[in-house]
Amino acid sequence: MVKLQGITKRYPNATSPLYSQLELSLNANQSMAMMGPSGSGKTTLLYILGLLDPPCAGQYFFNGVDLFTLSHAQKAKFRNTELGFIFQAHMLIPHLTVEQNLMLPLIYRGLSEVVASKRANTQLHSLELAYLAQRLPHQLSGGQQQRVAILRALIGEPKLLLADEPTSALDDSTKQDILSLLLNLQKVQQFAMVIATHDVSIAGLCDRLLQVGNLHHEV
Amino acid sequence: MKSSYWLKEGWALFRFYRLRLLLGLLGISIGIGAACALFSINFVVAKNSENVLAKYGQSRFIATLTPMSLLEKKQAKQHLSAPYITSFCHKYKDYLTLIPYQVVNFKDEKVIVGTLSGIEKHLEWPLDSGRALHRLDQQDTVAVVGKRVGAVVGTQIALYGRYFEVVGVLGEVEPNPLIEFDPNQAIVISIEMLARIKPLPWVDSFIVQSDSESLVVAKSQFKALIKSSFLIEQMFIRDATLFQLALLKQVNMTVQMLKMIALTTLLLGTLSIVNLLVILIDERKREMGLRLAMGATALTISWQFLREIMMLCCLGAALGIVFGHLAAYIIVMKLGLTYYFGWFSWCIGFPVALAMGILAGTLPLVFATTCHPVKLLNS
Repeated sequence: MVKLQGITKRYPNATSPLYSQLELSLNANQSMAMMGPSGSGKTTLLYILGLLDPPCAGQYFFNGVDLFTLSHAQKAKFRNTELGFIFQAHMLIPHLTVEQNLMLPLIYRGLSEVVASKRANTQLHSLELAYLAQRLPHQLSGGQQQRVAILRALIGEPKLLLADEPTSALDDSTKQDILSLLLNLQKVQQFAMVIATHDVSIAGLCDRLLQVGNLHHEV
Repeated sequence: MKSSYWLKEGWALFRFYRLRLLLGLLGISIGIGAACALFSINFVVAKNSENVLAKYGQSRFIATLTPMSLLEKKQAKQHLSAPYITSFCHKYKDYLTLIPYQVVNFKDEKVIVGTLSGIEKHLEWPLDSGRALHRLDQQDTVAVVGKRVGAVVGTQIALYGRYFEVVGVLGEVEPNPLIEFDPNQAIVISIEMLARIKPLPWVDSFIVQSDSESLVVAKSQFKALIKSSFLIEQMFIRDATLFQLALLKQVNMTVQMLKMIALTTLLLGTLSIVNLLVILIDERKREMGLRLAMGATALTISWQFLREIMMLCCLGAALGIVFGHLAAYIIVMKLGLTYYFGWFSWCIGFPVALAMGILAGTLPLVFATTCHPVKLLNS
Protein backbone atom coordinates (compact mmCIF):
# COMPACT_ATOMS: atom_id res chain seq x y z
CA MET A 1 0.00 0.00 0.00
CA VAL A 2 2.76 2.47 1.01
CA LYS A 3 6.01 2.53 -0.89
CA LEU A 4 8.89 4.98 -0.43
CA GLN A 5 11.61 4.89 -3.07
CA GLY A 6 14.99 6.59 -2.92
CA ILE A 7 13.93 9.10 -0.25
CA THR A 8 16.71 11.55 0.56
CA LYS A 9 16.27 14.22 3.19
CA ARG A 10 18.85 16.79 4.10
CA TYR A 11 18.30 19.84 6.30
CA PRO A 12 19.79 23.06 4.93
CA ASN A 13 22.58 23.44 7.50
CA ALA A 14 23.26 19.74 8.12
CA THR A 15 26.60 18.25 7.12
CA SER A 16 25.14 14.89 6.15
CA PRO A 17 21.69 13.86 4.95
CA LEU A 18 19.18 12.50 7.42
CA TYR A 19 18.15 9.86 4.92
CA SER A 20 19.82 8.80 1.78
CA GLN A 21 18.06 6.59 -0.73
CA LEU A 22 15.60 5.28 1.90
CA GLU A 23 13.41 2.45 0.65
CA LEU A 24 10.35 1.45 2.62
CA SER A 25 7.13 -0.41 1.98
CA LEU A 26 4.18 -1.10 4.21
CA ASN A 27 1.18 -3.28 3.56
CA ALA A 28 -2.39 -2.52 4.55
CA ASN A 29 -3.24 -3.49 8.14
CA GLN A 30 0.45 -3.73 8.98
CA SER A 31 1.97 -1.94 11.96
CA MET A 32 5.50 -0.69 12.03
CA ALA A 33 7.47 0.83 14.87
CA MET A 34 10.30 3.30 14.25
CA MET A 35 13.02 3.48 16.84
CA GLY A 36 16.12 5.55 17.09
CA PRO A 37 17.82 8.17 19.17
CA SER A 38 16.49 11.73 19.38
CA GLY A 39 17.24 13.68 16.21
CA SER A 40 17.59 10.50 14.15
CA GLY A 41 14.67 11.50 11.91
CA LYS A 42 11.71 9.47 13.20
CA THR A 43 9.33 12.42 13.24
CA THR A 44 10.71 13.70 9.92
CA LEU A 45 9.89 10.36 8.29
CA LEU A 46 6.38 10.57 9.74
CA TYR A 47 6.01 14.06 8.29
CA ILE A 48 7.24 12.80 4.92
CA LEU A 49 4.68 10.00 5.07
CA GLY A 50 2.08 12.59 6.10
CA LEU A 51 2.95 14.87 3.13
CA LEU A 52 3.81 17.68 5.53
CA ASP A 53 7.54 17.78 4.83
CA PRO A 54 8.71 17.04 1.31
CA PRO A 55 12.02 15.14 0.92
CA CYS A 56 14.90 16.38 -1.22
CA ALA A 57 14.52 13.45 -3.55
CA GLY A 58 12.56 10.25 -3.95
CA GLN A 59 9.09 9.01 -4.64
CA TYR A 60 6.15 8.14 -2.44
CA PHE A 61 3.53 5.76 -3.77
CA PHE A 62 0.24 5.16 -2.04
CA ASN A 63 -1.81 2.44 -3.68
CA GLY A 64 0.21 3.06 -6.83
CA VAL A 65 -0.28 6.85 -6.92
CA ASP A 66 2.84 9.04 -6.75
CA LEU A 67 1.81 11.44 -4.02
CA PHE A 68 4.62 13.98 -4.57
CA THR A 69 3.10 14.84 -7.95
CA LEU A 70 -0.21 15.91 -6.37
CA SER A 71 -1.24 19.56 -6.05
CA HIS A 72 -1.51 21.24 -2.62
CA ALA A 73 -5.28 20.81 -2.61
CA GLN A 74 -5.01 17.14 -3.58
CA LYS A 75 -2.43 16.58 -0.85
CA ALA A 76 -4.76 18.23 1.67
CA LYS A 77 -7.60 15.99 0.53
CA PHE A 78 -5.32 12.96 0.80
CA ARG A 79 -4.35 13.90 4.36
CA ASN A 80 -8.00 14.32 5.22
CA THR A 81 -9.29 11.06 3.77
CA GLU A 82 -6.40 8.61 3.92
CA LEU A 83 -4.25 9.70 6.86
CA GLY A 84 -4.62 10.01 10.58
CA PHE A 85 -2.12 11.80 12.83
CA ILE A 86 -1.44 11.30 16.51
CA PHE A 87 1.13 13.69 17.90
CA GLN A 88 3.45 13.44 20.85
CA ALA A 89 1.67 16.18 22.71
CA HIS A 90 -2.00 15.34 22.07
CA MET A 91 -2.43 18.63 20.13
CA LEU A 92 -6.12 19.24 20.55
CA ILE A 93 -7.34 22.69 19.56
CA PRO A 94 -7.61 24.44 22.92
CA HIS A 95 -10.69 26.57 22.34
CA LEU A 96 -12.81 23.82 20.80
CA THR A 97 -14.72 21.28 22.85
CA VAL A 98 -13.90 17.56 22.61
CA GLU A 99 -16.84 17.07 20.27
CA GLN A 100 -15.78 19.99 18.04
CA ASN A 101 -12.21 18.67 17.94
CA LEU A 102 -13.49 15.32 16.73
CA MET A 103 -15.81 16.92 14.19
CA LEU A 104 -13.11 19.01 12.55
CA PRO A 105 -11.65 16.44 10.08
CA LEU A 106 -15.18 15.55 8.99
CA ILE A 107 -16.10 19.21 8.55
CA TYR A 108 -13.01 19.65 6.33
CA ARG A 109 -14.23 16.62 4.38
CA GLY A 110 -17.42 18.55 3.63
CA LEU A 111 -19.78 16.63 5.90
CA SER A 112 -22.63 18.53 7.48
CA GLU A 113 -22.37 19.65 11.09
CA VAL A 114 -25.18 17.26 12.11
CA VAL A 115 -23.54 14.21 10.55
CA ALA A 116 -20.11 15.16 11.92
CA SER A 117 -21.55 15.65 15.40
CA LYS A 118 -23.36 12.33 15.25
CA ARG A 119 -20.20 10.50 14.24
CA ALA A 120 -18.14 12.27 16.90
CA ASN A 121 -20.61 11.27 19.59
CA THR A 122 -20.71 7.67 18.34
CA GLN A 123 -16.93 7.51 18.60
CA LEU A 124 -17.01 8.99 22.11
CA HIS A 125 -19.69 6.49 23.14
CA SER A 126 -17.60 3.61 21.82
CA LEU A 127 -14.85 4.48 24.31
CA GLU A 128 -17.32 5.51 27.01
CA LEU A 129 -16.08 9.11 26.79
CA ALA A 130 -19.42 10.68 25.91
CA TYR A 131 -19.45 12.62 29.17
CA LEU A 132 -16.40 14.56 27.96
CA ALA A 133 -18.07 15.79 24.76
CA GLN A 134 -18.63 19.38 25.88
CA ARG A 135 -15.39 19.80 27.81
CA LEU A 136 -12.43 21.84 26.64
CA PRO A 137 -9.05 20.05 26.28
CA HIS A 138 -7.56 21.73 29.34
CA GLN A 139 -10.35 20.24 31.43
CA LEU A 140 -9.19 16.69 30.58
CA SER A 141 -6.43 14.55 32.04
CA GLY A 142 -3.41 13.63 29.91
CA GLY A 143 -4.78 10.13 29.21
CA GLN A 144 -8.21 11.48 28.27
CA GLN A 145 -6.62 14.02 25.95
CA GLN A 146 -4.62 11.32 24.19
CA ARG A 147 -7.70 9.11 23.83
CA VAL A 148 -9.55 12.01 22.22
CA ALA A 149 -6.54 12.63 19.94
CA ILE A 150 -6.66 8.96 18.86
CA LEU A 151 -10.38 9.18 18.20
CA ARG A 152 -9.83 12.34 16.14
CA ALA A 153 -7.11 10.63 14.09
CA LEU A 154 -9.39 7.66 13.39
CA ILE A 155 -12.77 9.38 12.97
CA GLY A 156 -12.22 9.75 9.25
CA GLU A 157 -11.41 6.00 8.90
CA PRO A 158 -7.90 6.53 7.55
CA LYS A 159 -5.91 3.86 5.77
CA LEU A 160 -2.66 4.92 7.37
CA LEU A 161 -2.19 6.10 10.93
CA LEU A 162 0.96 8.03 11.80
CA ALA A 163 1.68 8.21 15.52
CA ASP A 164 4.55 10.24 16.91
CA GLU A 165 5.50 8.91 20.35
CA PRO A 166 1.85 8.71 21.37
CA THR A 167 2.55 7.52 24.91
CA SER A 168 5.66 9.47 25.80
CA ALA A 169 3.84 12.00 27.98
CA LEU A 170 1.82 9.41 29.89
CA ASP A 171 2.36 7.37 33.03
CA ASP A 172 2.88 3.61 32.74
CA SER A 173 -0.66 2.47 33.43
CA THR A 174 -2.21 5.05 31.07
CA LYS A 175 0.45 4.17 28.50
CA GLN A 176 -0.66 0.53 28.54
CA ASP A 177 -4.32 1.56 28.21
CA ILE A 178 -3.60 3.82 25.26
CA LEU A 179 -1.46 1.18 23.54
CA SER A 180 -4.01 -1.56 23.90
CA LEU A 181 -6.69 0.87 22.67
CA LEU A 182 -4.62 1.72 19.60
CA LEU A 183 -3.87 -1.91 18.75
CA ASN A 184 -7.49 -2.97 19.30
CA LEU A 185 -8.71 -0.21 17.04
CA GLN A 186 -6.19 -1.23 14.41
CA LYS A 187 -7.56 -4.76 14.44
CA VAL A 188 -11.14 -3.51 14.20
CA GLN A 189 -10.68 -0.73 11.68
CA GLN A 190 -7.93 -2.45 9.65
CA PHE A 191 -5.52 0.42 8.97
CA ALA A 192 -1.77 0.47 8.53
CA MET A 193 0.13 2.14 11.35
CA VAL A 194 3.55 3.72 11.74
CA ILE A 195 4.60 4.55 15.30
CA ALA A 196 7.69 6.55 16.19
CA THR A 197 8.77 5.53 19.68
CA HIS A 198 11.63 5.16 22.12
CA ASP A 199 9.81 2.39 23.95
CA VAL A 200 10.95 -1.15 23.21
CA SER A 201 7.74 -2.64 24.62
CA ILE A 202 5.68 -0.73 22.07
CA ALA A 203 8.00 -1.79 19.28
CA GLY A 204 7.54 -5.38 20.37
CA LEU A 205 3.80 -5.15 19.85
CA CYS A 206 4.14 -4.02 16.22
CA ASP A 207 4.49 -6.26 13.18
CA ARG A 208 7.75 -4.66 12.06
CA LEU A 209 10.49 -2.52 13.50
CA LEU A 210 12.54 0.08 11.65
CA GLN A 211 15.73 1.28 13.27
CA VAL A 212 16.27 4.87 12.19
CA GLY A 213 19.66 6.53 12.36
CA ASN A 214 22.65 7.10 10.13
CA LEU A 215 22.33 3.54 9.04
CA HIS A 216 18.64 2.95 8.96
CA HIS A 217 17.76 -0.70 8.67
CA GLU A 218 14.85 -2.97 9.30
CA VAL A 219 15.13 -5.46 12.12
CA MET B 1 -18.06 24.82 5.65
CA LYS B 2 -21.48 25.97 6.81
CA SER B 3 -21.76 29.43 8.33
CA SER B 4 -23.52 28.13 11.46
CA TYR B 5 -20.53 25.91 12.19
CA TRP B 6 -17.93 28.66 11.86
CA LEU B 7 -20.08 31.00 13.91
CA LYS B 8 -19.99 28.39 16.68
CA GLU B 9 -16.24 28.05 16.24
CA GLY B 10 -15.90 31.83 16.38
CA TRP B 11 -17.93 31.95 19.57
CA ALA B 12 -15.81 29.17 21.09
CA LEU B 13 -12.70 31.15 20.21
CA PHE B 14 -14.15 34.31 21.72
CA ARG B 15 -15.00 32.50 24.96
CA PHE B 16 -11.53 31.00 25.20
CA TYR B 17 -9.57 34.19 24.51
CA ARG B 18 -12.24 36.46 25.98
CA LEU B 19 -10.04 38.88 27.91
CA ARG B 20 -7.68 39.55 25.02
CA LEU B 21 -10.46 39.69 22.47
CA LEU B 22 -12.53 41.98 24.66
CA LEU B 23 -9.56 44.34 24.96
CA GLY B 24 -9.13 44.21 21.20
CA LEU B 25 -12.82 44.84 20.77
CA LEU B 26 -12.54 47.83 23.08
CA GLY B 27 -9.63 49.17 21.01
CA ILE B 28 -11.64 48.93 17.79
CA SER B 29 -14.77 50.33 19.43
CA ILE B 30 -12.98 53.37 20.80
CA GLY B 31 -11.24 54.07 17.49
CA ILE B 32 -14.36 53.65 15.39
CA GLY B 33 -16.50 55.35 18.05
CA ALA B 34 -14.36 58.48 18.03
CA ALA B 35 -14.37 58.61 14.22
CA CYS B 36 -18.11 58.01 14.19
CA ALA B 37 -18.73 60.74 16.76
CA LEU B 38 -16.76 63.10 14.55
CA PHE B 39 -18.81 62.18 11.47
CA SER B 40 -22.02 62.54 13.46
CA ILE B 41 -21.07 65.96 14.79
CA ASN B 42 -20.10 67.15 11.31
CA PHE B 43 -23.43 65.86 10.02
CA VAL B 44 -25.37 67.48 12.85
CA VAL B 45 -23.58 70.82 12.34
CA ALA B 46 -24.35 70.71 8.61
CA LYS B 47 -28.00 69.93 9.34
CA ASN B 48 -28.23 72.67 11.96
CA SER B 49 -26.58 75.04 9.55
CA GLU B 50 -29.19 74.22 6.90
CA ASN B 51 -31.87 74.80 9.48
CA VAL B 52 -30.42 78.17 10.40
CA LEU B 53 -30.66 79.20 6.77
CA ALA B 54 -34.18 77.82 6.47
CA LYS B 55 -35.27 79.45 9.71
CA TYR B 56 -33.87 82.93 9.13
CA GLY B 57 -34.53 82.90 5.44
CA GLN B 58 -32.36 82.44 2.42
CA SER B 59 -33.00 85.98 1.27
CA ARG B 60 -33.84 87.82 4.47
CA PHE B 61 -31.39 90.04 6.29
CA ILE B 62 -31.14 92.98 8.65
CA ALA B 63 -29.36 96.05 7.40
CA THR B 64 -28.14 98.88 9.60
CA LEU B 65 -27.11 101.96 7.68
CA THR B 66 -23.95 103.57 9.00
CA PRO B 67 -23.44 106.86 7.16
CA MET B 68 -19.81 107.91 7.57
CA SER B 69 -19.09 110.89 5.38
CA LEU B 70 -20.67 114.29 5.85
CA LEU B 71 -22.57 113.84 2.61
CA GLU B 72 -23.94 110.48 3.74
CA LYS B 73 -24.96 111.91 7.13
CA LYS B 74 -26.67 114.86 5.45
CA GLN B 75 -28.53 112.49 3.14
CA ALA B 76 -29.56 110.33 6.10
CA LYS B 77 -30.89 113.31 8.06
CA GLN B 78 -32.77 114.52 5.02
CA HIS B 79 -34.28 111.25 3.76
CA LEU B 80 -34.32 108.74 6.58
CA SER B 81 -36.79 110.58 8.75
CA ALA B 82 -39.77 108.60 10.00
CA PRO B 83 -42.54 109.98 7.75
CA TYR B 84 -40.34 109.89 4.63
CA ILE B 85 -39.11 106.35 5.22
CA THR B 86 -42.66 105.04 5.57
CA SER B 87 -43.57 106.22 2.10
CA PHE B 88 -40.20 105.11 0.74
CA CYS B 89 -40.75 101.55 1.98
CA HIS B 90 -44.26 101.53 0.64
CA LYS B 91 -43.04 102.72 -2.75
CA TYR B 92 -40.75 99.72 -3.23
CA LYS B 93 -42.97 97.07 -1.65
CA ASP B 94 -43.36 95.13 -4.93
CA TYR B 95 -39.63 95.05 -5.42
CA LEU B 96 -38.29 94.51 -1.89
CA THR B 97 -40.10 94.13 1.40
CA LEU B 98 -38.53 96.77 3.65
CA ILE B 99 -39.55 97.15 7.26
CA PRO B 100 -37.69 99.96 9.00
CA TYR B 101 -37.31 99.83 12.73
CA GLN B 102 -35.66 101.75 15.47
CA VAL B 103 -34.98 100.52 18.96
CA VAL B 104 -34.93 102.75 22.04
CA ASN B 105 -34.07 101.44 25.47
CA PHE B 106 -36.85 101.87 28.00
CA LYS B 107 -37.11 100.80 31.63
CA ASP B 108 -35.36 97.72 32.97
CA GLU B 109 -34.75 95.42 30.02
CA LYS B 110 -37.72 96.71 28.09
CA VAL B 111 -37.29 98.40 24.73
CA ILE B 112 -39.51 100.53 22.54
CA VAL B 113 -39.49 99.46 18.94
CA GLY B 114 -40.72 101.90 16.38
CA THR B 115 -41.62 100.14 13.15
CA LEU B 116 -44.25 99.59 10.48
CA SER B 117 -47.10 97.12 10.55
CA GLY B 118 -46.10 93.73 9.23
CA ILE B 119 -42.99 93.19 11.32
CA GLU B 120 -44.67 90.45 13.34
CA LYS B 121 -45.72 88.69 10.13
CA HIS B 122 -42.22 88.80 8.63
CA LEU B 123 -40.48 87.69 11.78
CA GLU B 124 -43.19 85.11 12.53
CA TRP B 125 -44.10 86.49 15.94
CA PRO B 126 -47.23 84.81 17.23
CA LEU B 127 -50.02 86.94 18.62
CA ASP B 128 -51.41 85.84 21.99
CA SER B 129 -54.32 88.22 22.25
CA GLY B 130 -55.68 91.33 20.55
CA ARG B 131 -54.42 92.39 17.14
CA ALA B 132 -51.24 93.40 15.34
CA LEU B 133 -50.39 96.98 14.37
CA HIS B 134 -52.31 98.14 11.33
CA ARG B 135 -51.15 100.38 8.47
CA LEU B 136 -53.73 102.96 9.59
CA ASP B 137 -52.29 103.02 13.14
CA GLN B 138 -49.40 105.23 12.07
CA GLN B 139 -50.72 108.30 13.84
CA ASP B 140 -52.39 106.49 16.74
CA THR B 141 -51.13 105.94 20.24
CA VAL B 142 -51.50 102.17 20.15
CA ALA B 143 -48.93 99.51 20.98
CA VAL B 144 -48.40 95.80 20.69
CA VAL B 145 -46.36 94.41 23.57
CA GLY B 146 -44.20 91.39 24.16
CA LYS B 147 -45.27 88.68 26.55
CA ARG B 148 -42.86 89.66 29.29
CA VAL B 149 -43.77 93.35 29.29
CA GLY B 150 -46.62 92.44 31.62
CA ALA B 151 -49.44 94.41 30.01
CA VAL B 152 -52.79 93.11 28.80
CA VAL B 153 -55.01 94.20 25.92
CA GLY B 154 -57.04 97.31 26.70
CA THR B 155 -54.67 98.73 29.31
CA GLN B 156 -52.62 101.87 28.88
CA ILE B 157 -48.87 102.19 29.14
CA ALA B 158 -46.99 105.43 29.54
CA LEU B 159 -44.05 106.05 27.22
CA TYR B 160 -42.15 109.30 27.73
CA GLY B 161 -45.27 111.18 28.90
CA ARG B 162 -47.69 109.73 26.37
CA TYR B 163 -50.16 106.98 26.99
CA PHE B 164 -50.42 104.12 24.53
CA GLU B 165 -53.27 101.67 24.44
CA VAL B 166 -52.21 98.05 24.30
CA VAL B 167 -54.05 96.54 21.34
CA GLY B 168 -52.20 93.25 21.15
CA VAL B 169 -49.96 90.99 23.21
CA LEU B 170 -47.44 88.75 21.51
CA GLY B 171 -47.02 85.10 22.41
CA GLU B 172 -43.64 83.75 23.57
CA VAL B 173 -41.18 84.52 20.77
CA GLU B 174 -38.15 82.32 20.22
CA PRO B 175 -35.00 84.50 20.30
CA ASN B 176 -33.86 85.44 16.81
CA PRO B 177 -30.13 86.16 16.71
CA LEU B 178 -30.59 88.37 13.63
CA ILE B 179 -32.33 91.10 15.63
CA GLU B 180 -30.64 92.86 18.49
CA PHE B 181 -33.61 93.09 20.86
CA ASP B 182 -35.81 90.59 22.64
CA PRO B 183 -39.37 90.79 21.21
CA ASN B 184 -40.70 89.41 24.49
CA GLN B 185 -39.56 92.62 26.21
CA ALA B 186 -40.56 94.94 23.35
CA ILE B 187 -43.25 97.61 23.17
CA VAL B 188 -43.94 97.92 19.47
CA ILE B 189 -45.37 101.21 18.25
CA SER B 190 -45.43 102.95 14.87
CA ILE B 191 -42.15 104.49 13.84
CA GLU B 192 -43.79 107.86 13.38
CA MET B 193 -45.07 107.82 16.98
CA LEU B 194 -41.61 106.88 18.21
CA ALA B 195 -40.13 109.83 16.35
CA ARG B 196 -42.62 112.09 18.13
CA ILE B 197 -41.91 110.91 21.65
CA LYS B 198 -38.17 110.40 21.22
CA PRO B 199 -36.37 112.52 18.61
CA LEU B 200 -34.27 110.32 16.30
CA PRO B 201 -31.52 111.65 14.00
CA TRP B 202 -32.60 109.09 11.37
CA VAL B 203 -34.00 105.61 10.99
CA ASP B 204 -31.11 103.30 10.40
CA SER B 205 -32.32 99.68 10.61
CA PHE B 206 -34.30 97.67 8.09
CA ILE B 207 -35.60 94.16 7.89
CA VAL B 208 -35.21 93.29 4.24
CA GLN B 209 -36.94 90.44 2.46
CA SER B 210 -36.32 89.81 -1.22
CA ASP B 211 -38.10 87.49 -3.64
CA SER B 212 -34.70 86.45 -4.88
CA GLU B 213 -33.54 82.98 -3.78
CA SER B 214 -29.99 84.12 -3.28
CA LEU B 215 -28.87 86.19 -0.35
CA VAL B 216 -26.09 87.75 -2.44
CA VAL B 217 -28.57 88.99 -5.05
CA ALA B 218 -30.92 90.28 -2.35
CA LYS B 219 -28.11 92.20 -0.69
CA SER B 220 -26.92 93.75 -3.93
CA GLN B 221 -30.52 94.77 -4.77
CA PHE B 222 -30.84 96.52 -1.42
CA LYS B 223 -27.44 98.20 -1.62
CA ALA B 224 -28.21 99.47 -5.09
CA LEU B 225 -31.54 100.83 -3.96
CA ILE B 226 -30.10 102.64 -0.93
CA LYS B 227 -27.25 104.03 -2.96
CA SER B 228 -29.46 105.31 -5.74
CA SER B 229 -32.07 106.72 -3.33
CA PHE B 230 -29.92 108.19 -0.54
CA LEU B 231 -26.30 108.08 -1.81
CA ILE B 232 -25.40 105.97 1.23
CA GLU B 233 -22.99 103.11 0.73
CA GLN B 234 -21.91 102.35 4.27
CA MET B 235 -24.00 99.71 5.97
CA PHE B 236 -23.72 96.67 8.16
CA ILE B 237 -25.67 93.60 7.15
CA ARG B 238 -26.55 90.66 9.37
CA ASP B 239 -27.87 87.51 7.73
CA ALA B 240 -28.19 83.79 8.32
CA THR B 241 -24.68 83.09 6.98
CA LEU B 242 -23.32 85.02 9.96
CA PHE B 243 -25.02 82.53 12.21
CA GLN B 244 -23.76 79.67 10.17
CA LEU B 245 -20.27 81.05 10.74
CA ALA B 246 -20.99 81.56 14.42
CA LEU B 247 -22.27 77.99 14.65
CA LEU B 248 -19.22 76.63 12.90
CA LYS B 249 -16.96 78.69 15.15
CA GLN B 250 -18.82 77.38 18.15
CA VAL B 251 -18.30 73.73 17.21
CA ASN B 252 -15.01 74.10 15.40
CA MET B 253 -12.87 73.67 18.49
CA THR B 254 -14.82 70.61 19.59
CA VAL B 255 -14.56 69.10 16.12
CA GLN B 256 -10.83 69.82 15.93
CA MET B 257 -10.29 68.24 19.33
CA LEU B 258 -12.41 65.27 18.37
CA LYS B 259 -10.49 64.90 15.11
CA MET B 260 -7.26 64.57 17.06
CA ILE B 261 -8.82 62.12 19.49
CA ALA B 262 -10.39 60.13 16.64
CA LEU B 263 -7.15 59.88 14.69
CA THR B 264 -5.12 58.97 17.75
CA THR B 265 -7.57 56.37 18.99
CA LEU B 266 -8.04 54.93 15.52
CA LEU B 267 -4.28 54.59 15.24
CA LEU B 268 -4.03 53.12 18.73
CA GLY B 269 -6.97 50.83 17.96
CA THR B 270 -5.27 49.60 14.79
CA LEU B 271 -1.99 49.09 16.63
CA SER B 272 -3.71 47.20 19.42
CA ILE B 273 -5.46 45.01 16.85
CA VAL B 274 -2.18 44.36 15.03
CA ASN B 275 -0.56 43.53 18.35
CA LEU B 276 -3.44 41.31 19.39
CA LEU B 277 -3.51 39.49 16.07
CA VAL B 278 0.24 39.02 15.92
CA ILE B 279 0.18 37.46 19.40
CA LEU B 280 -2.94 35.46 18.73
CA ILE B 281 -1.83 34.16 15.35
CA ASP B 282 1.60 33.39 16.74
CA GLU B 283 -0.04 31.49 19.57
CA ARG B 284 -2.26 29.63 17.14
CA LYS B 285 0.49 28.56 14.75
CA ARG B 286 0.39 25.04 16.15
CA GLU B 287 -3.35 24.99 15.58
CA MET B 288 -2.73 25.98 11.97
CA GLY B 289 -0.27 23.13 11.56
CA LEU B 290 -2.77 20.77 13.12
CA ARG B 291 -5.53 21.94 10.81
CA LEU B 292 -3.18 21.43 7.84
CA ALA B 293 -2.48 17.88 9.07
CA MET B 294 -6.22 17.24 9.29
CA GLY B 295 -6.73 18.17 5.67
CA ALA B 296 -7.33 21.91 5.60
CA THR B 297 -5.65 23.92 2.85
CA ALA B 298 -3.67 27.10 3.54
CA LEU B 299 -6.47 29.01 1.82
CA THR B 300 -9.14 27.47 4.09
CA ILE B 301 -7.11 28.42 7.15
CA SER B 302 -6.43 31.95 5.88
CA TRP B 303 -10.09 32.50 5.17
CA GLN B 304 -11.06 31.11 8.57
CA PHE B 305 -8.68 33.41 10.43
CA LEU B 306 -9.63 36.40 8.32
CA ARG B 307 -13.30 35.65 8.97
CA GLU B 308 -12.67 35.63 12.70
CA ILE B 309 -10.81 38.94 12.51
CA MET B 310 -13.58 40.46 10.43
CA MET B 311 -16.24 39.23 12.86
CA LEU B 312 -14.33 40.87 15.69
CA CYS B 313 -13.94 44.08 13.72
CA CYS B 314 -17.62 44.17 12.73
CA LEU B 315 -18.64 43.68 16.34
CA GLY B 316 -16.19 46.39 17.39
CA ALA B 317 -17.51 48.68 14.65
CA ALA B 318 -21.13 48.17 15.71
CA LEU B 319 -20.30 48.91 19.35
CA GLY B 320 -18.10 51.84 18.34
CA ILE B 321 -20.79 53.36 16.15
CA VAL B 322 -23.39 53.07 18.92
CA PHE B 323 -21.04 54.64 21.48
CA GLY B 324 -19.92 57.23 18.93
CA HIS B 325 -23.51 58.31 18.35
CA LEU B 326 -24.06 58.45 22.08
CA ALA B 327 -20.95 60.62 22.53
CA ALA B 328 -22.00 62.82 19.60
CA TYR B 329 -25.48 63.18 21.11
CA ILE B 330 -24.05 64.33 24.44
CA ILE B 331 -21.65 66.80 22.76
CA VAL B 332 -24.40 68.13 20.48
CA MET B 333 -26.71 68.64 23.46
CA LYS B 334 -23.93 70.47 25.32
CA LEU B 335 -23.47 72.74 22.29
CA GLY B 336 -27.17 73.50 22.32
CA LEU B 337 -27.77 72.18 18.81
CA THR B 338 -30.46 69.84 17.53
CA TYR B 339 -29.33 66.22 17.19
CA TYR B 340 -29.94 64.39 13.92
CA PHE B 341 -29.26 60.71 13.36
CA GLY B 342 -27.32 59.85 10.21
CA TRP B 343 -26.68 56.44 8.63
CA PHE B 344 -23.51 57.80 7.10
CA SER B 345 -21.41 56.72 10.09
CA TRP B 346 -22.64 53.15 9.69
CA CYS B 347 -21.68 53.17 6.02
CA ILE B 348 -18.21 54.45 6.92
CA GLY B 349 -17.67 52.69 10.27
CA PHE B 350 -18.02 49.14 9.00
CA PRO B 351 -15.71 49.42 5.98
CA VAL B 352 -13.12 51.26 8.09
CA ALA B 353 -13.28 48.56 10.77
CA LEU B 354 -13.04 45.82 8.16
CA ALA B 355 -10.13 47.56 6.48
CA MET B 356 -8.46 47.85 9.89
CA GLY B 357 -8.97 44.13 10.50
CA ILE B 358 -7.86 43.08 7.05
CA LEU B 359 -4.79 45.32 7.17
CA ALA B 360 -3.91 44.21 10.66
CA GLY B 361 -4.70 40.55 10.12
CA THR B 362 -3.39 39.86 6.65
CA LEU B 363 0.30 40.36 7.32
CA PRO B 364 0.67 38.02 10.29
CA LEU B 365 -1.70 35.60 8.60
CA VAL B 366 0.25 35.49 5.34
CA PHE B 367 3.40 35.07 7.36
CA ALA B 368 1.88 32.18 9.29
CA THR B 369 0.19 30.36 6.42
CA THR B 370 3.26 30.48 4.20
CA CYS B 371 5.28 29.01 7.04
CA HIS B 372 6.35 25.37 6.70
CA PRO B 373 3.70 23.03 8.22
CA VAL B 374 6.36 21.28 10.32
CA LYS B 375 7.49 24.63 11.72
CA LEU B 376 3.88 25.42 12.53
CA LEU B 377 3.42 22.07 14.29
CA ASN B 378 6.64 22.48 16.26
CA SER B 379 5.99 26.11 17.23
